[in-house]
Amino acid sequence: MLAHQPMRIRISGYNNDEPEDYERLFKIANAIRSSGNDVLFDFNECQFLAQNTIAFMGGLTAWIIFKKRKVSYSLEGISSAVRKHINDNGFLEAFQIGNNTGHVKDTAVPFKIDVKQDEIGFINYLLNNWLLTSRIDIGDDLKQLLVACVSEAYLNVFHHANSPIGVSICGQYFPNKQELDITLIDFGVGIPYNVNNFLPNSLTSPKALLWALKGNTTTTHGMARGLGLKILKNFVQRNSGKLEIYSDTGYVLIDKDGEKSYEISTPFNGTVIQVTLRCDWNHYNLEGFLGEISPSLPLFGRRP
Amino acid sequence: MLINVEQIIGLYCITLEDGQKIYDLIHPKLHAGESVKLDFTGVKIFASPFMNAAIGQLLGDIADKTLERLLEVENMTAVGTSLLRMVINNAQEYYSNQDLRNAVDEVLDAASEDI
Repeated sequence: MLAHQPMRIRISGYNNDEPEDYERLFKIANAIRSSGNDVLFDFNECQFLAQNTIAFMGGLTAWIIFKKRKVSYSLEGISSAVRKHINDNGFLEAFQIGNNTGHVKDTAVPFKIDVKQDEIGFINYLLNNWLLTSRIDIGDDLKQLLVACVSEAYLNVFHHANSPIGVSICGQYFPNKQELDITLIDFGVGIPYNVNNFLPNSLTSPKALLWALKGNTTTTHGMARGLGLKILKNFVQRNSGKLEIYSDTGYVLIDKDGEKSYEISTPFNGTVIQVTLRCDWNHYNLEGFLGEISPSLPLFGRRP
Repeated sequence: MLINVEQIIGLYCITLEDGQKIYDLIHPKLHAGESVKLDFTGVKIFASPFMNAAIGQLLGDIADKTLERLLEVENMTAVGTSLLRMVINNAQEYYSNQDLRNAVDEVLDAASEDI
């Protein structure tokens, strides 16, 4: 390849959010990282993009730009449905790709990239664009709890990840499957790196992810730890949804059947957090996993 | 001392930094034995980093019985109250378990020295 020619990356076919889809994306990211060339993303044979691929491509595009390399998109033969989707969710507008109308409100969950922490903007995004009552009618209590937990995952990127692109986010609503998804991706140091810098003995990447999911954190000096991921785990298990985390060679899947961790063959320098919710869920009981909520109980009373 | 949290922090009490602002206001008063009332009217969303920094951290040097007597929390949502109770339980465990605290702090100190 001549030095001035961009590296052509084909994003073709159906791009879902299964582990094999992620491994394909990680291979692409690693190939781009190890090459100094500019990049051309070729979507000409693309038939479907789930929210995770959009979040990943957004993060990768921002990373390439951060590295002062050029990135371009070829969309001539893209399926009209995919083109409409990445137009309506604001992805094309975010990177000024082709003719676009910007985010079309009240249809797609928008793509969003936050280089700097903006928790108020993120919470508004969750409330006003992702968790719409027309998609998932879970009541105000549950919505507040879910927003709090996902926001903690968002804040972790800025406190722990050292990601040059901040965090890339995309949600999606699948009415046929009655599923509501959101993916957060950073291109930082990864959870296993932080855990292994913190602990005296090195853990494998899957074990490091499990350690972090137990409510442990690497920056708690003098203060008890955050509970967001622990509550989120509980939440998705009751909802029959999923919480998935990829970082380095670790992959953790939490669903109603429990918690499983795997070593994957393609490492990713960063972290992916993906939440999948069931929308047709109506058995929620706040007290069931938050404990008694009566305001008359003493706050500082110790458990018997 | 009455503090309207929404006026200082806003609708969303999420971050550790915002929690620290509240802690810095109330800790000296509580430590001196004065009563504090935190009014959360208007606050919509709570997350544990805020709760840990604002309230959980108080247990580091003030007894829970003293806090029960001096610190009043009012007009907090049901979810906020539940989260706060979890955060307090967690902080009680952390601060009362000297072995756990020493282990965590020793590792952190060692990590700091390495850096």
